Amino acid sequence: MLKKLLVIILLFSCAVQAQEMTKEEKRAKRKNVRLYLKKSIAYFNNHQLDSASLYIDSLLTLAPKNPDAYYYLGLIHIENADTTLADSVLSQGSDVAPLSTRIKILLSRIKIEQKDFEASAELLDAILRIKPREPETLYLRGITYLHMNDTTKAIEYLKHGLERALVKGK
Amino acid sequence: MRTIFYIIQQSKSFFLILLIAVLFVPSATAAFKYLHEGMKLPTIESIDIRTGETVSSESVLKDNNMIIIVFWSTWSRRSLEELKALKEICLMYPNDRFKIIAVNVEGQKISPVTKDTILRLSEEMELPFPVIIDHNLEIFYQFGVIAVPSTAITDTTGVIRFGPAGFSLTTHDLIIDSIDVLLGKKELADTTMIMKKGYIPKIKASRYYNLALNLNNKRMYERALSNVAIAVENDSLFPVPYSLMGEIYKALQENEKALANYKKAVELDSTFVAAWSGIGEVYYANKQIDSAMTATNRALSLDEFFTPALLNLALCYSALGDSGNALANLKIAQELNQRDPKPYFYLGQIYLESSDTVDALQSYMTALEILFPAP
Repeated sequence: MLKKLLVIILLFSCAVQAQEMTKEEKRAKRKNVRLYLKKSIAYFNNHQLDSASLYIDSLLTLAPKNPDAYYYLGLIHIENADTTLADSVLSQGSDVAPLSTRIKILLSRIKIEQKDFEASAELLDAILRIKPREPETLYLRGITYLHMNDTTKAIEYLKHGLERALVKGK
Repeated sequence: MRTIFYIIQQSKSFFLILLIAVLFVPSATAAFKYLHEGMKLPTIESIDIRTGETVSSESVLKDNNMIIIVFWSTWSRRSLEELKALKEICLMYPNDRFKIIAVNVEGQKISPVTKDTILRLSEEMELPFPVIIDHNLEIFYQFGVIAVPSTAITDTTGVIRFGPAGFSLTTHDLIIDSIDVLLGKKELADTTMIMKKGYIPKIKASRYYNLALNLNNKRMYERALSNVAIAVENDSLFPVPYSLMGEIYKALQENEKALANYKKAVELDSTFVAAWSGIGEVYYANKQIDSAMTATNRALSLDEFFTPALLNLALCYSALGDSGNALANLKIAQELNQRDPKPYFYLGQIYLESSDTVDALQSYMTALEILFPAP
């Protein structure tokens, strides 16, 4: 009986220790994710795209669903004038982080550049369903309407986007 | 009899000179919404884009120099004219106790290409003073710059003594006169300018005002109000906090309180351009167009380049159905700050009202491209 009790106590303390270690690991991981993101943004702002890219890759190994990583990787590819790769990365990002507005906005800009206005409109409408007054989204939706020859809607959305942006104090 | 006639003649000349002085003598203008003559220059510290050295307003003042801060951008033709003029002025005063800091306010985000343009231009012009970039327009918003270029001239203690908006031949002469006066080389009476001493606020009031300003810029209005109230408590004769309170209440759409505070500001300083302009904006919001135009014109009589007043005047003209004058004022506002989306917004409204959808579209798109540049 005592032996059984001792075994249970031993197993319990091992489990608690394991949980503590997992907590520590998680904390360290979160810290590293933040650090890698900060570094990659700093390199990106300094136009050191290769270094920025390396940190994003490290970030993605730790946090494969981190939306910021996809966003900045998309920006890096845009800076490198590789819209195909940017499209691919941002589409992936949009799949893993469907609630990320800025990934969708950036992707919709690429779609506009690729003259895929319907795809752009679809992305923007998805944002507007949740955030109907988001100014940049309204602006880009206005642009898609313009390219789809709906001037009335274009003006409506552009005007609304601008009003929202000015109210928000941008 | 001859004496009386002589006195009358002299009086006529005197009144004529006075009339000319009132009509033509330039006064200290208000390039900044949040700073006034008499207030201390906020600390500016950044890196010279050409040398990589630290540029600090505090270091300049420690060496007992006066400072000239010029806000400029590559997209503003008058900025480039002012930079050239300041370069010549530097050569006129090679050993004198003043330093110029050129603050580039190109935009919120500076791409590497834009940075290269700024650097190249500074090098081509061989500017003999430091050039810094105002990243995220922090200094721009702190000062409340309303036109580009704008200039702030301080004395050797860092107190702002003169602040013209825009740049013209008159500004060039005024800058030289202000340098001569502040360096003690000339008496103010020997110049054509009126240099306001301004109200020098109590230190604690100034501190709480700056805090309130930062909170206001972050749209934390309630906290801004608490701090500006403390500023007023510590110095009830300091006009600038009342104007800031007016602005905050206007943002909160409490127009009566906004009006009361703006009026208090002009009661303390009848030449307070930003406050007069604020009064005009509140009257416009209340649809009291005549009162709005009176207050706005008062602001513009004190500073013809005060962009918010130009915009408000355009709105008033538009409300009265005078699209010609509305457009004219908007175009002046646009010229003064080509990166301000508001003139384009109002232009779009006017074009839309006259069913000119093509120009309306173009105006809205220009404004939105400024606000949301492509990455």
